[in-house]
Amino acid sequence: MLPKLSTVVILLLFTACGKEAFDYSKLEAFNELHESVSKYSASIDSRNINWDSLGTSYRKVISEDMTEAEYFQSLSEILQEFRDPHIWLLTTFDSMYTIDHLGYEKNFDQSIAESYLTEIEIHSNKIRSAFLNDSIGYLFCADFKGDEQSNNEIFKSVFNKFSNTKGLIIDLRVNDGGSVYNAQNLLNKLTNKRLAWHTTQNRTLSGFDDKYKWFIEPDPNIFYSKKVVVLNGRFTVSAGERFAIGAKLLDNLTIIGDTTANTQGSVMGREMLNGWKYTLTFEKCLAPNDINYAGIGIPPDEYIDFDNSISDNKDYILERAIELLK
Amino acid sequence: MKKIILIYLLLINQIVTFGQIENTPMSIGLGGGFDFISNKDDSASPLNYTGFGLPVGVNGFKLSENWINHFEVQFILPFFTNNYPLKSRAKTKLVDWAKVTLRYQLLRKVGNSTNNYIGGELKSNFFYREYDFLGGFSWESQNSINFSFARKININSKSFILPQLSVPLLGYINRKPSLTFDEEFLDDFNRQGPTSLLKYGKWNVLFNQWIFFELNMLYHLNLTDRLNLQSTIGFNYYSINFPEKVQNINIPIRCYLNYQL
Repeated sequence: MLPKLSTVVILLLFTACGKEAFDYSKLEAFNELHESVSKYSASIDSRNINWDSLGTSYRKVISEDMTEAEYFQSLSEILQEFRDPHIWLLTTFDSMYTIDHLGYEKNFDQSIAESYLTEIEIHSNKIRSAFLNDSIGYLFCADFKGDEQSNNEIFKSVFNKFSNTKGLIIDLRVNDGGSVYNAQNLLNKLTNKRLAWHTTQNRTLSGFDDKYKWFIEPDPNIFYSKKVVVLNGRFTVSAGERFAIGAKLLDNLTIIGDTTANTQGSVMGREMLNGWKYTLTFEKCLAPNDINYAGIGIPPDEYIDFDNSISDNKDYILERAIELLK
Repeated sequence: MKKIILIYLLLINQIVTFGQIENTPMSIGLGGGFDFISNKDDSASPLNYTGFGLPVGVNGFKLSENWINHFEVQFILPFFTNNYPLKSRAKTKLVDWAKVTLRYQLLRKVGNSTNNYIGGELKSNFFYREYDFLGGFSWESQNSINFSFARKININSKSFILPQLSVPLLGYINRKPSLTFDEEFLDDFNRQGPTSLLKYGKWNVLFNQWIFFELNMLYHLNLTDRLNLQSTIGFNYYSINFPEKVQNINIPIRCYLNYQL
């Protein structure tokens, strides 16, 4: 009796252990990923991606015998074909962020930039303000994420503080995006005119939906009318790029630095059949006159290449901005 | 599906009755239960999510010579922390979910010597899911007028069972799978409030991109002159095919302690 019972227990344990391992077909998961990207991505046309052809090529290297790491590598490579910083692939053992594979160089160093600043005020872990040369305001936004009301209160307090400055520098060189509303609230304080800002269209199963219009709406209480220099770079992404589209519309704003990252539309997250997560851009964003900067980035008004941006503990982009505000 | 419904109807009509409960004045009670869920929403994920919740609810029931009045409200809400994680076989799980069901049934006995009842049901079922990863979410709200059939089978002088079948005649379905940072949706909602959600709904009849049916077995037991116990086990299935397909199976088990008014 006892040996029989032991056998049953062992079999049950073995079965339970066997059920722990998740078995999936790599080819099926690849095909589902490929189909989902076809359905939901707004980037296939705008970036001239021959997605079907890429699917055919990459499908040939997918094998059920691949290790998870090899499979991850293959999927990373096909997704990197978009060259879209919004595209990530996340697993429990590794992550792929496309922006790390684009050869971009960061034209910002926090410690060097801060050496120019006085009276640094930390408003949140992403927003800082300070003075330059006592008469120029400096606003740094690492992203546009977070609660809109809280961020708007921060922006209001910053502009009240800078009301007597002769100019303002808005540093978005490493702004990796977030809420379009936070970008909008900041732009709203830099104009006294309602302006058509950009349009967006969501990818649908049958193409794209109707254009949705976004506007810069002047803040009723705050209008900073003096000169503003916006600092951009290759790590200015998403909502940071939409801010740049707005900055180009305002006469008192000048953008210097480098072209932005190249992805302005909003991002969605999905999961694969094996539970891995990925993101893609599902929204098409068009500047006025229907200019699509996806795959290109928004160019600055004054280009400062990387070799001339930060070196020898000097931030030459910041110095150029100070010069423009004299 | 039609064969299953037909077999169910034939079976419950064949059962012979013993004993009698003819009259149960209105009684209202509180209770809870267990709700097994299996859901696959193609617009949100290719994975099927299963799990359970422990609904809490309110129940009201009245049986007269010719009529059955029955209402029920059930909640599975994060507020009550009675929603346990729904998981996929790939070990992913939903961030959160909520389910609210409201129903009111009015059934009339048909014929003089049978215990068959037919009538209508107003039902509202809302299921909200928040998927892991960048906060994408999805919901469907089904509000329907249903046709119901039930047969009262008396067990003894204190108890009976009431197997039931409901299928919708007309429904208003509101469904919105929201892409993670769907700014158009958010802007609409910020500007117009909840009324902006109405544009994601439409009227439907059964089999027009929508399948729904529900089977229930209610057991009623008089405990004392004033108290009765009602428990129900059910099975319901729905499939909504817009904008992309969502399929859902529920096996709810509920138990109420009712007080006769």
